[in-house]
Amino acid sequence: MSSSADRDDDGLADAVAALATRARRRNRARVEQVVRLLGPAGEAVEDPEARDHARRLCHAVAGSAGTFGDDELAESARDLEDTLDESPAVDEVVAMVGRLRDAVPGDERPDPTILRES
Amino acid sequence: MSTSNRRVVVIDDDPSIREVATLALSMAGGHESYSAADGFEGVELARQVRPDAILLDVMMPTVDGPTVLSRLRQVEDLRRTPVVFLTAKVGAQDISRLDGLGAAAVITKPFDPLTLADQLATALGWEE
Repeated sequence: MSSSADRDDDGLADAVAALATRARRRNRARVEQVVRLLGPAGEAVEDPEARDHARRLCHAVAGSAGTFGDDELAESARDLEDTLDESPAVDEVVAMVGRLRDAVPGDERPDPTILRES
Repeated sequence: MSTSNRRVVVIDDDPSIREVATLALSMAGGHESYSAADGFEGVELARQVRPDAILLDVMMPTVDGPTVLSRLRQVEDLRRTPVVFLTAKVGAQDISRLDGLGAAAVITKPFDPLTLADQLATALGWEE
């Protein structure tokens, strides 16, 4: 196993911090897209296509946010992903989307290129 | 055996995960790391690179990780290359299902970039 003595952990931590800014912009854009897909009042929760797309976006946010230290956002995204897997009540989804939005850290501008990725 | 100078291919549709995983494997593990954004590109890249290991995302939009694994196993040079699944689904049932597909290990997302290289080395027995 590589040892901490022969590698540059500080350099890696700095490099990861630089990548985190871009990751947060992507995640902010993903969360905004989840809101658009499901509708501000949860109008599209019963649309299987919209729900599946939103679920996949939540899955991506859950994996990425936690890796960059945004644990609250990761947890909110995972909760919503799991809920969308079932047949959720509209009110429940709207409340969870609200929590997801509140958990997005900072004020990074969303990265519009995410719309081409998903 | 040293963990350094191995070739590792990362296949993940999330650019943030590709960036941080390849960086972590290079800087902390001393590996040559390569990445692909989907399963088709990943299988082709692996054919060219002939990696010592492949880190493979499970849920991808075009071709999912288990399908990519079965395609890798159809390539003679990659038949025995260890594949480690990366997954944000952490249920015991999910991990057991992925193990059953012939993966060498499962690493869950989120992961700590500072220890990813160590996790991979431990999972694959790349210990000195």
